[in-house]
Formats: sequence, C-alpha cells, structure tokens
Amino acid sequence: MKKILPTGKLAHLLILLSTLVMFYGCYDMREVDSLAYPLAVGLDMGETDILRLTLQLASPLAIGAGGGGQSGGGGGGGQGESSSFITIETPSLYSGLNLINNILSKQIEMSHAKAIVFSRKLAETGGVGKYLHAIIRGREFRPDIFVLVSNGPAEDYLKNVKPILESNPSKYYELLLGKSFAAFYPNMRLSDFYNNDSDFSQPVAILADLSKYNETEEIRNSKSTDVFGLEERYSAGRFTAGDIPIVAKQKNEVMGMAVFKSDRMVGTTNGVEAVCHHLLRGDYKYSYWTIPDPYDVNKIIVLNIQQRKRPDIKVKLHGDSASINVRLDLEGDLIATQSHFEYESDLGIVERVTKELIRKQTAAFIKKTQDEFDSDICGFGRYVKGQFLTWDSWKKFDWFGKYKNTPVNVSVDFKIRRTGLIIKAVGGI
Amino acid sequence: MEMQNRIILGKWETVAALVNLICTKIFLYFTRMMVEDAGTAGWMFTIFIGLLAFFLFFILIKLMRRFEGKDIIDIAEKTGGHFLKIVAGLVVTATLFYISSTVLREFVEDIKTVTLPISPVSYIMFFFILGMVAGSFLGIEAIMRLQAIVVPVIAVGYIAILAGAIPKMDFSYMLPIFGTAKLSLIGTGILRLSVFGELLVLFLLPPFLRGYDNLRKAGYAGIILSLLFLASGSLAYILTFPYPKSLESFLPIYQMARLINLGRFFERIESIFVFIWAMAAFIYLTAVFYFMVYAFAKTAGLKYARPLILPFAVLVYCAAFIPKNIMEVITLDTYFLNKTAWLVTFLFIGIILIAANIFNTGKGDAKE
Repeated sequence: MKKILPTGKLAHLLILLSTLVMFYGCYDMREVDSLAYPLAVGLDMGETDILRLTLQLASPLAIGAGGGGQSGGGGGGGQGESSSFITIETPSLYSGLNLINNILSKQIEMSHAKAIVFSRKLAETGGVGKYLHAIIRGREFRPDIFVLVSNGPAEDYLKNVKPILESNPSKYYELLLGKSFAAFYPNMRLSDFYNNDSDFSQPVAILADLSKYNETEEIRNSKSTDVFGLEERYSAGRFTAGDIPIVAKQKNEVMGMAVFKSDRMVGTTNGVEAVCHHLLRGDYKYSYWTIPDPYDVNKIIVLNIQQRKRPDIKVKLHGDSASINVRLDLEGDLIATQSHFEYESDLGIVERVTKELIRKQTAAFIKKTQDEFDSDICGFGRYVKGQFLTWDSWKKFDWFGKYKNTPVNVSVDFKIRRTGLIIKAVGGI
Repeated sequence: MEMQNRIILGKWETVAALVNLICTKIFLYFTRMMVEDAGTAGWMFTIFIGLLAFFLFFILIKLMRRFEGKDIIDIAEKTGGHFLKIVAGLVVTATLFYISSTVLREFVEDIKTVTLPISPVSYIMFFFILGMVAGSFLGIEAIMRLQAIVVPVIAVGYIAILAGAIPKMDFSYMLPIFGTAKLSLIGTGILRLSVFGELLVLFLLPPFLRGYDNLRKAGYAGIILSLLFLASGSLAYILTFPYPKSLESFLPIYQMARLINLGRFFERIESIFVFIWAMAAFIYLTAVFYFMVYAFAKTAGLKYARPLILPFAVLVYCAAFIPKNIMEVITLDTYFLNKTAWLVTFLFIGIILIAANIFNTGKGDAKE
C-alpha cells in the first residue's frame, strides 16, 4: 500500500510544530506587563451606590527602583510612589473591577492582593458575608489575604499605608500582618476568617486605624494613660488601633481585634485581649509582658512569655448545659526588673503574680466575649462538639444559644525558666 | 486484537493503573462526596466502602480462578455463547464510554475554572482528546508502562499537598466522630461501592497478565493502595475544612493546595496540583478510552482496534458536550455514576462469574 501520510521522524516533527502553533496564541495568554496588580482592597459603604471600592495598585517600576524591597529607595518616594489608588462607587466588587477597566489600560489581576480592608461602618451595618462569598468563589483572590477592619473609612486607611522600611507595600503587609511574634492582633487570613464563621466558632479580624498623633505634644495633652488601672497602666497592649501613643511618619497602625458574630461586627478588643485570644486559641508564640513589681507598685518587671503547649480545654456536659475548664501552660524568661529585690533567688513570687494577672485578664476577656459580644471567638465550641457523637445531636444542643451562660474557669501554669544574662541582681545601677 | 498475545504486563504496571483509575476522583469530587454522605465521619465511611469493595473483590477473584488468562468477555462467551459475549461486551463498553465522556467534561470544566477561564471548552477538550487518541494508538503497553512511571510522581505530589496542608489542619474538625451517621449509610455504602467501579478494567486484563496469581495480587494491592489514598485524602480534607463549610468546595484537593503557605517562599503550591492533576487526568482518560475501544473491538470480533479509535474519539468528544453545565456534570458523576457503577463492576460481573462457574463444570478450563 502506498504511503500517503508522513511517518517516523517527519511525523513527530509535524506534530510538534503544530502543537507550537496552537499554543502560542492561547486564549488565556496574558502578559505580565498587561496586568495591573492590586495589593490591597478596601470596601466601604457607598454614598451614591451600594459599595465604595478602593484598590491600592502596585507600581512595579517604582517598587523595582526601590531595590527589591529594601529601604534604600525611601519608600517609593524618590522614584515615584510605589502604589497608586483608585476609588469607585459600585453595586458590587466585581462590577467595580469592570468599571475600573474603563480607565486603566491594564487588566486587573487580584492574585497578588495581600489585604482586604473593611470599614467598621460596613462591617457593623451591612455585614461582610456577601462580599466574602464573592471573594471566596473567585479564583483570583488568594485564601491567605489578611482581613482587616478599619475604624475609619477603608479608603483613608489604605491611602495612608506608606511603609518607611519597605518600598514594596506587598512585602510590608506580609511582614507586618503575618509575623508570628505579634501578639496584639490576630494573624487573620481570609481562609481562617471564613472557616471560623461556623457552627462552633466565630471570626475576628485585625483592627486597624490611623494614628491620631502627629506631635509628641498631642500625646501629652491626650493623657491617654490616665484612664487605666495599675495593671493595665503597665500593659503595652491596653490600646486599640488609633490610640497607640506613637508619633511616626507612618500613620497606619494595627492593634486589637474586630469581633464578629457570624458576618457582622459586634465590637472591638484591645491588644491585651487579643493576646488572651491567642492564648486561648493556642496560636500564641511569645511576647513581652510588663507586670507591676510585687514589692514596689511604682516599678515593673518585664517577662518574655511563651506558650509551652496548646491550652488544655476540658468540657463537661450537665444535661442541657456545659461547663468549661481552661488550663493555660506558659513559661517565660525574666527580661528586666527595676527594683533591687533579688528576684532571681525567689522566682516563685513573680510566677504567682504573673499567673494571677494572666488568669484575671483571660477570664475577663472570656466574660467580655460572653456578655458584651455573645460570640464564641475563642472557639470553645470546637471542644464542646467533641462531647457529641453525631452532628444532629450537636446541632440540637444549640451551642451559640448557650455560650453566654456557660461557666468558664481559667487556671494558669507558669514557670520562669531563665533570667537572661544576669543570675543575681546586686543593686547599684 | 493485534499483538495482545505478545504483550505481557507486570504486576506493578497493573497496580499503578488500578490506583490511578480508582483514585483520580480524589482530585475531582471524592472527598466532598464523602462529606456529603457522612459529614465529619467521611473518612470512616471511605474505609467502610474500601473494606466492602475488598470483600466483594475477594469473592469475584475466587470465581475467576478457573478462567486463567480469560477476560470477562471471554468468560461470558464461554458461558452464554455469542449472545452473552455481546451483552457483556456492550455493557462494559457503554460503562467505559459513560465514564470517559463524563470525566472528560468534568476535567475540562475544572481546567477552565481553575487555569483557562477564557478558553472555550471545545478548545481545551481537543487537547485531552488528542492525548487520549495518541495514547490509544500507541497501545496498551505504552499506556500501562506510562502509568507505572507517572503514578509514583502523582502520588508524591499528592502526599506533598496533604503534608503541606498539615499546619491548617484542626483535629476538632473531625468531631462529632460519627458525623451525620444514620442507619441508611449502610445502604449508601453499597451504592458508593461505585467509587471502585474502575476495577472493571481489571477484568479485561487477564490476557495480558502472567497467570491468575498476578491478577489476584495486583487486584488486592490496587484496592489496598487506593483505599489508603482515598482514606488519607478524605481525612485530610475533613481536618482542613470545618463541616459544613467542607460541603462547598468545588475541587477539594485544589482548595487544600491553595491554603499551603510555608513562609514567604512556599506559596501557590497549587501549580504543582494542576501539574499532577493534568497528568492523572490524561493517563486516566487514555486508559479508560483505550479499554472502551478494546472491549468494543473484542465484542465485535474485530482483529484490529485502531480503526475504531478516531470514530470513538469523535463520539466521546460529542457526548461530553451533552451536559448543559458544570452542575449537571457533577450530578451525572456524583449522583449517578458513583451510585450505579457497582451494578456493573460487582453485580453484573458477579452474575457472569457465578453463571460461568455453574455452567462450565468441565475440567481443563484453565488450560483452554
């Protein structure tokens, strides 16, 4: 039979060439320089439409000129701004992106977005669920975006994100919000936020705001430290975002948590309460704690406290109700003592004072989640549902209906392990 | 079929093919399906189904002992003549046709959703069909050898995804331990034996295997390994996504891969997922397609199967367009195929084998 089709090497070559032709103009081909990359998305209540959408867009050339994220470029100042902003009023997130494509030459690509900022007004009145559903359903948004709630308008917050040490705002978000040692706000990513809105736990978001202080004089005049009791007076975490007595070129700050009940924000906590939240969820790493000196109330002791293991949470069912016992297991290092008392030889007293302080603050925080928020943000429901054999019996128990009146006892184990480079304070300087 | 008597497949090739054929559904819908059935106890339900499949396979393989070197179509012919041969062959062909067209559409829709949102379905499907046709032209030996090479790579990628998602896992998500347990789950478990429906291919392989023992051992190993992968995937998924949020995921393992975030440098691991997923899809579809053509050619008594490849490719390509949308494809796959495939793989094959054992009582069957 006469050969009519090419065979052997020629056939292989033809197949390869035809494949190349088919692939070079693939429908989904998108060049990197034909795309615009939002680094953060702000969502707020609209005035002329349902939603006000703000995008912080990366300026790749300015970011590149900043030396790949190092401080040399001066925060994008010298070579132009590292990001630019677009704000639009729109019925929905995606229709907003559509409208933005009317002015931008490049196509919006959300896969590099690092943060989504809801305004407090939107989170409290409209709820965030409908927007989160749209984001979760979309393939471009990544599940590791940080979720923030800004006390003021999201637009204002984003426009004031001008990192001092980073020319790349994306890296700034990742380093600021994703650091494991930051205890005063939660490490809250979209997937965690979404999954925490469940039948046994409620979500929290990072609380953000702009600093209200421009000069140190303003801090003095505000007397912000006078309103606190002795123990809180010494705690660095007693503030919420916007209140931190700090003066810096960078105005945006994060501190505390925005507390949600389902998809609606119901309140805020300060930094100490965020620490308690970390401790109870078992994701606390370490941070510095300042406690009043047991022998001299005008002096302080500083400890670096770590969580030795996840909290031991035991649940007991009593018919139609439950009680919860929480045991926190912590250890720490002595960092500083101001009085001349030789605590190194009597660590027990520092341990007792610290234990009691943490116990009181944690118990007060839990009480606040019950009385003020009525929201199980600590996720005790995860342990309660373990007492049931089937999902139906768990649902019938109606945990969220009972959470408010569930007694929760907290106990703390704390041991000081090390005393730094000094083993015996002898007085003097 | 041409060449078949000269081609001998090894045990590992057969095991790898079985694992790929049974487990590819992990990448599509399997873990979500288990959660739909049993809630937080989906992983236990998977083990239950696996043990049930193992037990039934134990019976079927015992029934095949007397028919060494014969596939199910040969056995049907020996038992009920041409009529039963044609019935058996057409049932096997139709089942594999249904699987290949449904799964082809599902893979294409998934690829479109995840990586190629602008490309038309027909364009993406063309490349899958191209792979299926090319693989089928190269024949069973190439397909099975490729399985032996690619399946370990896929397995490593899959395990890497599960391991990478460990930081996101929470053991409290698997509580309450018995999930949505109801007595009706036993009945659902029998229907869900269909998860192991692709074992059907094993009953076409005896002519290519060296003896009954190889068939038996490959079958057992394939089921055990598949059960391991299915149960681990199911458990990992349940630990990563809280119930009932776990009912939402379109592509569960892809969603897990998206969560992996190890420091600032190990992100976007789902690109590995897409790679291993596409490999698994290609070799799965090629194998199912080839055995469909093979079964039809054998049923029709054709000496050569190759001329059937292109016509069947056109048929599968067209049939894959019948479902109107992704939801219809998922319904066809999850609620029809995965509840009825057991009727062919376990019931129909079982009936033929029982009949064969009753009616073929003469000695020397094995030697024939």
